[in-house]
Amino acid sequence: MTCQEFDWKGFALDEITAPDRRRMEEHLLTCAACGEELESIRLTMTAMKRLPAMTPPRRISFVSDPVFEPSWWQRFLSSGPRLGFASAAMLSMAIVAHGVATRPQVVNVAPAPVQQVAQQAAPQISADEIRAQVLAEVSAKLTEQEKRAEERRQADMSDVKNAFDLMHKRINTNVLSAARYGGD
Amino acid sequence: MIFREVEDRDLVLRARKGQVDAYNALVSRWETRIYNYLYRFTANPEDAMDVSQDTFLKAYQNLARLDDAGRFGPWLYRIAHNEAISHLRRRKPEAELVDRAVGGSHGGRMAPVEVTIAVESALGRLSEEQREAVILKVYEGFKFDEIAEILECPASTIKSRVYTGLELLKEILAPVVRGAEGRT
Repeated sequence: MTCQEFDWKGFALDEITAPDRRRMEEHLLTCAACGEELESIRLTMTAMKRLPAMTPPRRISFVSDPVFEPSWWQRFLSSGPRLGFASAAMLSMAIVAHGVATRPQVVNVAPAPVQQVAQQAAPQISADEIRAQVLAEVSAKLTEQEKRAEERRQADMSDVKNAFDLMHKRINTNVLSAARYGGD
Repeated sequence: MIFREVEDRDLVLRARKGQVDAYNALVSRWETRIYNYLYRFTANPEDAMDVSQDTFLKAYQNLARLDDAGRFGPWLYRIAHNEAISHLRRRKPEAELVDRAVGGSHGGRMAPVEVTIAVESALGRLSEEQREAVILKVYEGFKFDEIAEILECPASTIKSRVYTGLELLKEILAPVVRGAEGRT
């Protein structure tokens, strides 16, 4: 190996293999020119390292500093359990609101129509017959309304049950996720 | 370096799980090195500070994208490099940068002043690519492969930039180095 083949910059920068380093160290013992070349590289690097390490004029903002703090909605969205409870609460409120808005109307059994019917039928039908007829009509309508109300109640109960099932599943999922990743 | 990587890996994994203290520890470990790298590259303390801040913020936001948690250091330098390039391109023409690096004064913080000014001036006379490669090699102590990873170019290109840069520095600094050597 001739002098030109030796990589003295690589030697000084520690970018050569161990066998090459050993060979070059042996060569240095007998070659003054290569010794001077290596020395000039090392002196240059020594001069460069005279630049002292600077201390940052102010510290870098940490994650706990305001610049890193997530906004309230980011914190909310990143919390699975909170999101699950909020979803379930909103669903429950929606079901309750739906139930209130579609409450069965009270049947108006005001006497006016009865009197009207009675007056119209007065010449042919007795008062007892009219009373019985009205009672039968009212009873039929009440039965019908009760039947509808029961159907709505059953439907609402089913919705509530589904909502609670969904909420339960979400909570279980979040608890499992939290346990798996160790977060909240 | 191995211990640092092992600890970095642990801290990165914990930071990914949302442990703020873990990321704070990473910032503490790397902020001075990143600041010095950026200071030597930009030759401006304010630019170095701003880009350091941006670097750590971007790293925090993209922590999930880091493939190998043990390679946090080179990954962080790559972010710092990209941020520095875009920051410098956005703010100042290159000529101004070089002029300031050559003639820059930093308040008599270095001793001996003669060597310090000469080194800063010499670094300013390298091309941007050479300067950054030399800084990462000589000051930050990365291997060619790691610098190639940081700057996203072949290791052979990095080696060429470092060797050319070092040869130029050797020529520029020769009078100063000889003078300093003669005085000691």
